Amino acid sequence: MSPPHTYDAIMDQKAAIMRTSIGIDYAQYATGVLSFDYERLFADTGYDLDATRTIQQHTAVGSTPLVEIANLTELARAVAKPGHGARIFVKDEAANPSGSFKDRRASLSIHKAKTRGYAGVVAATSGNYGAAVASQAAKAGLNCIVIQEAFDSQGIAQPEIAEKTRACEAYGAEVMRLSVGPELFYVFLRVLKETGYFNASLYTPYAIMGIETLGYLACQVREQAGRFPDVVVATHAGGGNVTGTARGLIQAGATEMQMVAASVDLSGLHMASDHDFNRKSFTTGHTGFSVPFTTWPDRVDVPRNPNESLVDSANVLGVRRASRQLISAGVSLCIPASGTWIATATT
Amino acid sequence: MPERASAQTWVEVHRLVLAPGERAPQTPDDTQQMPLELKVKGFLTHDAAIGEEVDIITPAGRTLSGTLIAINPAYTHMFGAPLPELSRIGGEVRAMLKDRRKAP
Repeated sequence: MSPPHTYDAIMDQKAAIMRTSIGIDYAQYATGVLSFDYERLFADTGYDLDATRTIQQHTAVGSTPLVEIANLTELARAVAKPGHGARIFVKDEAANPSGSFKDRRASLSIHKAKTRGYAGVVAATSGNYGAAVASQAAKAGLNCIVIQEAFDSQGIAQPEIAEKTRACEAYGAEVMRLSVGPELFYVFLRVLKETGYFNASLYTPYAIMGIETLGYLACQVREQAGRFPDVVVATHAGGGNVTGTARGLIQAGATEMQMVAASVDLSGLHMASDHDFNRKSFTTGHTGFSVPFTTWPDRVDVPRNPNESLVDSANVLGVRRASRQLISAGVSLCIPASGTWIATATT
Repeated sequence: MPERASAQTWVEVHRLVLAPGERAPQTPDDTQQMPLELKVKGFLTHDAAIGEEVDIITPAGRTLSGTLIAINPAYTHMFGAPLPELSRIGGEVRAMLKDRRKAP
């Protein structure tokens, strides 16, 4: 490797590469040690909720059904304390074009890349987000490069990631499959620098604003249950999902609900360990970023992420068990892998 | 005699990105001892045999070089054997629902 491409040399150029590839200087929004001006950051994107909805409708993203799962409510009531056991609804995000809620997150990034005249987009992702970016890029006629952490030192690929490789390649993306390690980010910066493509990452405000249209689920609950949801549960990995959903719910008028962030507890499985990589059996909302990164707020999607107090967690087997229970109770097979929003309303 | 591919064939190449001594400082020990490897697919620019250094044109239109490791590679991933810990959950859930609906 020639000197300008060493790990340290590329990481030293991080700030400049990020500015060129997103067009945002995050430093100007930090207003104090812990405070961050989200509203100005979001306003400066040039999109609001109506614009986001219009852009998403153009590529058939969003407007997914809200389904009441009466069996799940019955199961909850079988084990709930007297007086507890609210009606449970599930937002069927698998109905999005690439099969998950991540289409919402990709849609504004690709729209921004297209309108600013970038020739292509790059995303570092091993999960559903890659398929979403590749799908949106295909619709927009942009080149797409997806960088995955895909296989361990034995060459063994994680099956959920391998399936996303297939999806991304089907959508016409170049997929760079890497072995295990945090230098995925180094390769990502190198590719941005070499191609001049747009940075379609989950931590940009576009990827968070794209989620806000999910707030409509509050109105869907009101149509079916006569009131806004009391509790909304969303997956928490990098935090953008929970932040975007909560912002959207507030804009829909549901200001009194409780937001619960669900994460996988991957204690004992190091995020960057070659040995642990194939023992996790999860990608997407389950990469294991959440728990270590919520104590290191600027490493997550949302600057100064305040969501850690909202996080509830289960271990790997617990999540698989809960997924099977959901499916057995009548939730579509694909939903647990597509991002599940569970809304409850006491009636 | 290694298998050969002609120009324009869909192939996969492999290359070393970082050698064990060049890895990021925060990388845990087990990963630190391994190289960072890359595999990418694209269309071969010239006739070549498995194991040779080649150039490919990726779907994004980039020219990348690497060692030719697979010709028209298949997707072979699968999800393994069912987990015994999960196999009875469906029955448990249905039994709970049945009991619940029988209750007065």
